[in-house]
Formats: sequence, structure tokens, C-alpha cells
Amino acid sequence: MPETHPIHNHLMQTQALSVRLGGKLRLSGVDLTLKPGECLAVIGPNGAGKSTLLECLSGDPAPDSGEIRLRDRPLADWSPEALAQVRAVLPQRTELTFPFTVREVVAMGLLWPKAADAQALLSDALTRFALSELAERVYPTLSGGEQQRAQLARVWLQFQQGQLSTKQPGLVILDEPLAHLDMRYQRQCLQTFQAACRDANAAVVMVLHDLQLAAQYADRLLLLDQGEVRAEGAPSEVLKAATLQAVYQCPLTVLTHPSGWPLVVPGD
Amino acid sequence: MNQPIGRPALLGLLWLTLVLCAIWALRQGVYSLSWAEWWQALHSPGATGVATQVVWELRLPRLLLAALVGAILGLCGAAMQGLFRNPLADPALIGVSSGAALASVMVIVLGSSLAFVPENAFWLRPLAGFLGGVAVTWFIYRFASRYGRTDIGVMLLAGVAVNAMAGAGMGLMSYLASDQALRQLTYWTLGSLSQADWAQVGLLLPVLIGALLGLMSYARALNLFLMGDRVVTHLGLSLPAMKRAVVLWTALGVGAAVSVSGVIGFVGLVAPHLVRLLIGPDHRWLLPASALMGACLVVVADTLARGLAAPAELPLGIIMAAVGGPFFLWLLWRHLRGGLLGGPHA
Repeated sequence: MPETHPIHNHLMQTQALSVRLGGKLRLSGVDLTLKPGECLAVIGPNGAGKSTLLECLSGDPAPDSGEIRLRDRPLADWSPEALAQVRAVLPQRTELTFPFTVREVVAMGLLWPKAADAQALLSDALTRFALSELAERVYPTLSGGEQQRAQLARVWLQFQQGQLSTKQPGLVILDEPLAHLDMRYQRQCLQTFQAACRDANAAVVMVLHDLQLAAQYADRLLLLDQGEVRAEGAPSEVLKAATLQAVYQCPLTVLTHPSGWPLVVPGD
Repeated sequence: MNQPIGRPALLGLLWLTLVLCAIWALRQGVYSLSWAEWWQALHSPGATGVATQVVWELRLPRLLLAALVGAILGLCGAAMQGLFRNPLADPALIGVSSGAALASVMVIVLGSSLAFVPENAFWLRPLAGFLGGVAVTWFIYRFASRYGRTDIGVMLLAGVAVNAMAGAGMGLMSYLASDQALRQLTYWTLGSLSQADWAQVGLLLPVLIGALLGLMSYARALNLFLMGDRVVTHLGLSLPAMKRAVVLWTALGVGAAVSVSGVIGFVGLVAPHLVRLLIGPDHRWLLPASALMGACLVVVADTLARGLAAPAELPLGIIMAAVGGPFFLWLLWRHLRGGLLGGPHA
């Protein structure tokens, strides 16, 4: 657990971020701040620029205009090694056809595979994502959800080892972390990363498609549409029927869950 | 672990196999030696006498060259398969082999007519082969790179085109060749180590050491790369540096190997495949083990090439293809049934 860390008001900050890929404007004028201890969910329809935003925040591609600062330093000034200790990234897709075992895949998240605490961290990551039983299985033969858990464990491992080495709260960037997961593991995954925000003061940015879970687990939502921020703020402020209908272009109703968070259901 | 054998154990076993194959290769030959004579000759490199000459001038350089060529091809095959994320990729695919082959053939056919080339310049063909391999690979690499990214799919397709052009060039060369050059050319095209000498050994040894060290330092990056381009950067390693290193060392290694031995197929494919079956695809172990496995394969194949039709000699490439082809088909068939390519666990 990080003991001391200097106070940064913003762990990460972007200003007027614009990205053009293949001649098309993918992101336009995105302002975003992320405080330590905060969990931000990026929501929006297909092709809204969510993945592009997360890739930009990860450092590749560099924005065409605008600025990204991590711990008050321009992202472009960070060396890859230093960056890897501060932020861990789960890409939307990983294609692995070579017959690595689950243990080997998760261990690839280690920044220092030979460090004294590496094995302990590895088995902790395996346990946390319910992979201990699957550790010696061959990754390509697993189901989609099991593979996703292995990838999540890999990212968790990098995040943990990075935090231990820098003694500062880290940043986790997750592009659709819940893909292929069943209800139980969706919940476990979000709780795990939420706990990291609460206990270790880390920050999480993730793309979610499930608006209920986003409302339930994220501190803030960022609604993207056509590369622009349509709404930003607490779940109850962003999840408004009129806004969502305009953005998702389908009829929907916003109810309230007995526990208080907004529930978005399709249909009038 | 459900691997059939531990990783350090496999490396040890491969070394042992290589030593045993080497002893067999050094014993085997037209000139028969008793164990005592053989042992004596092996310990007296400076002595005069037929036994010493046979061992030190013929068999030893040839054995070392076979081991070096095999190690380089096995190593480069493993690295290339990582770069293409495909266990069936081969250095020949992106034109390294054909570039090296065309350059070497040009030296065989045109070399004597070039005024500036000194008589009997043994280094000329290796140099040309190396330059040819590097030139083609560099061209394909640049061709497929845009905005600092290298598109591996484009590299593969460009390699197909360049292979076809190099094939045309080789055809033209054999059309222009004199009878004597044509014989040499045909033999070389089939793959052979019959011209082995110490100079070639001295040329390939530093290439192998360089390629092994150069590629091993990117073993972790290659592992991550198998999960996607960005994963390498996400863990703080340099993706462009990794791609450059694999392309450069493969071009250098295969170019140099092809220039001394001709095109020997299947080693770069079969050696890493066997290793993956035994200890899995982790490049930190796959790369050195593939080099050792490749060395064993080529030493055995070359000893068979010398021995099967003695005193005549079969081209090494023919042995490799005749044994390697069916063997590879068998591997494919086994693993298609198991549903997995290149794994220890099918």
C-alpha cells in the first residue's frame, strides 16, 4: 500500500484533445480530468471514440492537437519504462494463438519477473480473478470469459507491481473490461478495481457498455458521441432519458434502482 | 507444469544430443579411422598425416558449419514466427532467403566477369548473400512501414512479390550461366555444405553470437507482442526497436547462412516447432533451444548427406526436404486433430 504520496489534484488531465485517424476526426476537443481515487466510466454508442480516447490516454496514438498530462507532466515526456510503472492498460482485444499457459499469460504483466515479490504477486493476481484452478491450462483453449479474466489478472499484476515500485497510486485503463464475463465476474471485476481506488487511491478509466453497472460502480461518467463529450458528471446527472435517447438513437426509459442509482432500460 | 520436460533440462539434453551427433559426424566418412587414430588426430591439430588432415581440414569445419547454419536457421525461424505471430512463418517468407540466394547466384554467374573482383575471393559470396538478404528485408520493411508502424501483413504480401521477382532473377541467371557455373549454381541451389572451410566458420560464428544475443534481449517483448502490438508498449518496451532487431538479425543471420550453404528449408520451421511441443512458446527459452535443435538437425542431415551415397554426396537441401516435409505434414496432421498448432499440450 502506498504510504506517502504527494498531492496531485489531477492524476491525469487532458485539454482540447483531438485525434484524426485515417483522415477522420475521431476525437474533438475532449477535456477530461482524473483525480486519484476516482473511477471514471466512459460510455457512448459504437464508434463514439471511446477506445481512441483510452488509447490516447495510454500514450499511443499521440493526439493531433491538445495536451495530455500525467502527474503534471506531458504524457509525451514520459519514458515507456516509467509510464509502464504508473499505468496499466487492458486493450479491447488481445489475440493470442500461441499455446501459453494461463500462468504465463498473467506473468507477462510483471514489470520485473525476477523481483523477490513477483511470485507472491502472481499468485495473488491468479486468486483474485479466480484463475488458480486454470493456471496450468492453455490460454487459447479457454472460453472467452476465462481469457478475459486472465487478461484482467495480467493488467492487475502490472498495476500492483508498478504501485509497489513507485510507492504512488497508479492508473488503470480498461477498454471493455467486462467483455465475455458473466454476472458474477462482472461484479467481482468492478469491485476489485473499485477497491483499488478506495484503498490505494488509484484511478481507473474504463469503457463500459452496461449503463447500470457504470452507474453503480463509477464515481463519474463521461458520455462520448461522435468524438465529442456530450455529458459529464455523476451518474444521476449524465443518465438522463433525453440525453441518452439523442445519443443512442433509440427509445429508452430511466428508472431508479431501489438502492438509488439510475436504471436505464430500452423501450418507452 | 504439464510440459513433458523442464526447460533447463531440455537445454541440457539438446547440448548432450549435439555433442553425440558431433562425435558421430566426425567419425563418419569415406576415410575410415579407428577410434584411437581419430582421438589422436583430434588432439593434434598441427600434426601432418592423413588422419589429422581429414579431421581438421574436412570434417571439423564442416561439422561446425553445419551446426552454425542449423543454429542460425532455427533461431531466426523462431524469431520470425514471433514477429508474424504465426508458427508457420519462415524467413523465406519475407524474401530474406531469396534475396540472399539471388545475390549469391549473381556472384557465381557473373563474378568472374567483374574486373574488380580478385581471383578466388572466398568472402565475396557470403558478403553478397548477406547484403542481398539485408537489402531485400530492409526494402520490405520500409515498404510496409508507415507513420512509424510496420504492418506485418503487408510485409508478408510484399515478401511474396519479392520472392517471385527474385525467382525470375535466378531463372535469368541460370539462363546466362556457363556450363560450369550452372553446375555450381544447381548444387548450391539444392543446399550443400561441401565447400565448408574454416573461413566460413569464422564468418558465421560471430553472426550466430550476435543474433542470439540481439534476439534474446527482445525475448520478453516478443512474448508480449504475441498478444498485440500495443501490449509491448503498455509494459514499457519499445515496439519499433523490437521489430527492427528481429528484421535486422534475421536478415543478417539467414543471409549469411544461405550464402555459405544455399537454401536449406524446413530447419527454421521444424526446429522451433519441436521446441514448442516440448517446452511451450516462451521466447526466453524458445530462442536458445531452437538454435540448439536446429544445430542438431542440420548436423544429422549433413552427416546423412555425406554418408548415404558415399563416396558420392547428396545435396543437404534434398535430405532436409525429404525428411522435413513428411515430418512437418505429420506434425500438422497431429495438431489439426488436437485443434492446436505448436503447443505442448495438444
